[in-house]
Amino acid sequence: MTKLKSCWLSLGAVVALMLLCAASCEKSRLEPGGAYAPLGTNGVAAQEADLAFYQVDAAYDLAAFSLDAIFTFERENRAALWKVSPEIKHALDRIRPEAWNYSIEYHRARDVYRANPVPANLTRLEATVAKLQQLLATANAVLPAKK
Amino acid sequence: MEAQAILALISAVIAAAPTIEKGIQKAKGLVQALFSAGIVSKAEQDALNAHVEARGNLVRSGFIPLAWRVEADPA
Repeated sequence: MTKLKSCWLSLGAVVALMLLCAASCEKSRLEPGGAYAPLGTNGVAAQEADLAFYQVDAAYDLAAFSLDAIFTFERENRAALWKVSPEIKHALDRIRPEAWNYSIEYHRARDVYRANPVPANLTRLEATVAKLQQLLATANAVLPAKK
Repeated sequence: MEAQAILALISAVIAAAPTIEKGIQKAKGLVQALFSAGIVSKAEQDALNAHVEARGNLVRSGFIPLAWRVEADPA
C-alpha cells in the first residue's frame, strides 16, 4: 500500500482544478465535429451537439473506472486487507455483481439512446449512472481511511 | 446529467485517491476536458466515446473482469 501514498502529491492539483472549474462548468460546450457533436458531409452540424450525453458518458466512464480501480486494489492487496478486516472483501463482494449488472444496463440504455436520442432515454442513462455513483460511494467507504 | 453531479462524482473519486493512482490522472483529464477551457475538443469527445464503446464491447462479450468477480475468501 505504501506505493500508493504518492497519489496525495497529485491530490492538491485535482482539488485546485475542481475549485477553478466549479464556477465555469455551466459554460462547457462541445467543439463541432466530435463524437457528441457530429458534422454532416457538408461540414455543417449534422445534429445539435449533445452535451448532456457527453456528460453522462463521462460520469459513467469515471464511475466504472473508479469502481474497477477499487475492486482491483482490493484483489491485489487481498491478503493484507483480509487481516485488516474480512468485511472489506465481503462488502465489496456485495457490490461487485450489482455494479456489473448496472454496467450492462448502462450499455443497453446507451444503445437505445443512440438509436433514439429523446429525453426519456437520456433519463434512463442518468438513472443508471446514479446507481453506479451510489455503489462507488459505498465501495469507497469500505476501504480503510487514509492515515 | 447536471454538472454538479459530475463534480460530486469526481469528489468521490478524489476521496478514494489513496487507493487509485490512475484514477487521479483520469479525474484530472475529465475535469480538464469538461471545464477548464469551456470547450470540449473534438479529440476529447472522440477519446471518451472510444473508451465507453470499448467498455461496452467488453460488457457485451460476457467476460467479467477478474476484479469484478466474487471469489472465494482467503484461507
